[in-house]
Amino acid sequence: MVIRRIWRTFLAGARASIVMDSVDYSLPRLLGTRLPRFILQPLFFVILADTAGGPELGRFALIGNAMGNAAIMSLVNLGVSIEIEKWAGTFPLLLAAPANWLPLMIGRAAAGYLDSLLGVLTTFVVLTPFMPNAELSAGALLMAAPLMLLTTASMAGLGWLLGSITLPTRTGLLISNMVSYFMFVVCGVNFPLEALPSWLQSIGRLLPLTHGLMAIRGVIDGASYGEVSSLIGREILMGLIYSALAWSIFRKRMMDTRRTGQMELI
Amino acid sequence: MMNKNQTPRSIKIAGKIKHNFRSLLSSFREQAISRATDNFFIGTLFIQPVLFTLLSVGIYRYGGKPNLSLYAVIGAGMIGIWNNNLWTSGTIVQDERRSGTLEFLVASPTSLEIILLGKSLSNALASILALALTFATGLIVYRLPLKIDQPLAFLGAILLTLVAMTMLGLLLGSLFVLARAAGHLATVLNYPIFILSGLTFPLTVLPIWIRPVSYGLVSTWGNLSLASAAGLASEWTIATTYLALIGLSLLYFVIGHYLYRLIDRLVREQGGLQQW
Repeated sequence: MVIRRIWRTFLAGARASIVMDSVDYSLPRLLGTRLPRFILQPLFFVILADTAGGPELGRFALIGNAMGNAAIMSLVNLGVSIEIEKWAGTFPLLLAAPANWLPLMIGRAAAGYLDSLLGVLTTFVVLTPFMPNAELSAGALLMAAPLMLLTTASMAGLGWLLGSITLPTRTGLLISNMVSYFMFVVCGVNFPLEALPSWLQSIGRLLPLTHGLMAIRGVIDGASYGEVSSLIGREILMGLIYSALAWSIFRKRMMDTRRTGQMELI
Repeated sequence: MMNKNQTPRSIKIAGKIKHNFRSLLSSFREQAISRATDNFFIGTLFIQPVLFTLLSVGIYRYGGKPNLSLYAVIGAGMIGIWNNNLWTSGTIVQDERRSGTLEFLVASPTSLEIILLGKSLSNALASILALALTFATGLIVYRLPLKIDQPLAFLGAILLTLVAMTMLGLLLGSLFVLARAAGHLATVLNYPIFILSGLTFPLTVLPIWIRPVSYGLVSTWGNLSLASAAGLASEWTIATTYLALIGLSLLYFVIGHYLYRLIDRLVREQGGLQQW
């Protein structure tokens, strides 16, 4: 009975997120904003990397940006979905609802996963044919697909954490976006982590995208899951830590708001 | 013989110029105040240029071409300038529309064109700060020896880029009277412009058939002009880049002006600004 209720709450969250996100999948929005973002942003960094370090660095940037872009969509989507509740005036309703918030919020990340998958697929399908030296086979990319999902999920944890921290402010979307861009610098998206000053490397290793991306690159280059298991383990650990932190902060904020009745301040 | 109550034509013109100048200043000031409280403006002006510099210079250093770092710094600065102008000038009309003040502005005796010009100038002037931030990031984080060969020519390039960006803002502002999806257009235009303008990488890496489009963009010439003045190898002289910026500014102004006239007449005749 309890499991059934939790499952239904999860589905309700997933349905809400997909319905809200579906606005962005109307043809004009898809052609006008989504597809260009999936293609043009990675293209810009691939050209830059190719100019700087030749086809090898171009390939590095292609994998990094395809995955980085997707993971960041997951982060921003979840952070924004919390903020949207405030703007839509539905936050007090969510607060008052007897439903369990945890499965609801996990469900809310569903649209982010779908967006991310579409993003990765579009980037590779469109850009790989223009990079004959990249040697990216469909098989290798499929092998790495579960790791892409894992990285996307742990990024959703970070997005949820940012959304929870910025819940009482009006800067949630801005902070999510800026953290995303910062991750493009310190998570080894466009060049290896080792090229950064050591203090920036340390920050990068504390972020969820870094280890997942390293594991994805390893599998695409032919490594087995066993060989990248330590990276996978660290990515899972990061995801769990960020999600646990997010849940505790989110729950505390919700409980405090309920207790004090100061919904308008959020 | 002039009537005693008639005002001489020259006084009338002087009065009109004075009135327009005051309107220009007041819209300049209003835009500066509203921008200072805009989170997205703060993010795009103060944070994004720093991150783009870290990224582009980092890629060149890792790729073994640190000599192109100055090119990357200037390109990242132009990205900041472009982003700020596109976001802020592109959404002037959208913000007025959302506040319900667009109809008042169109109906008021002061031309909306003057208001758009003042606001675009305000945005363009603020966006120059992005260039200073990218240079500061290069100096502080990567300790780059950022030497400008011809400081005066560099300053001239900044000023001409500022004028050209203002004219572009005027053009976009006029165009966006008819487009409710201006915000989305601003998002979509970002990366194509970065690529077409060769911001952070030389234009020569692009296919030759794309170049004519690149040469129609003010961001291309602003970037080339700054790079030439900084002493980076370029196929264009500083004078040529200046001429291109002046020419494009005039072209944007003429197109923006006639577009505004056309749109103004259209919305007044139909009396239905809301339908756009």
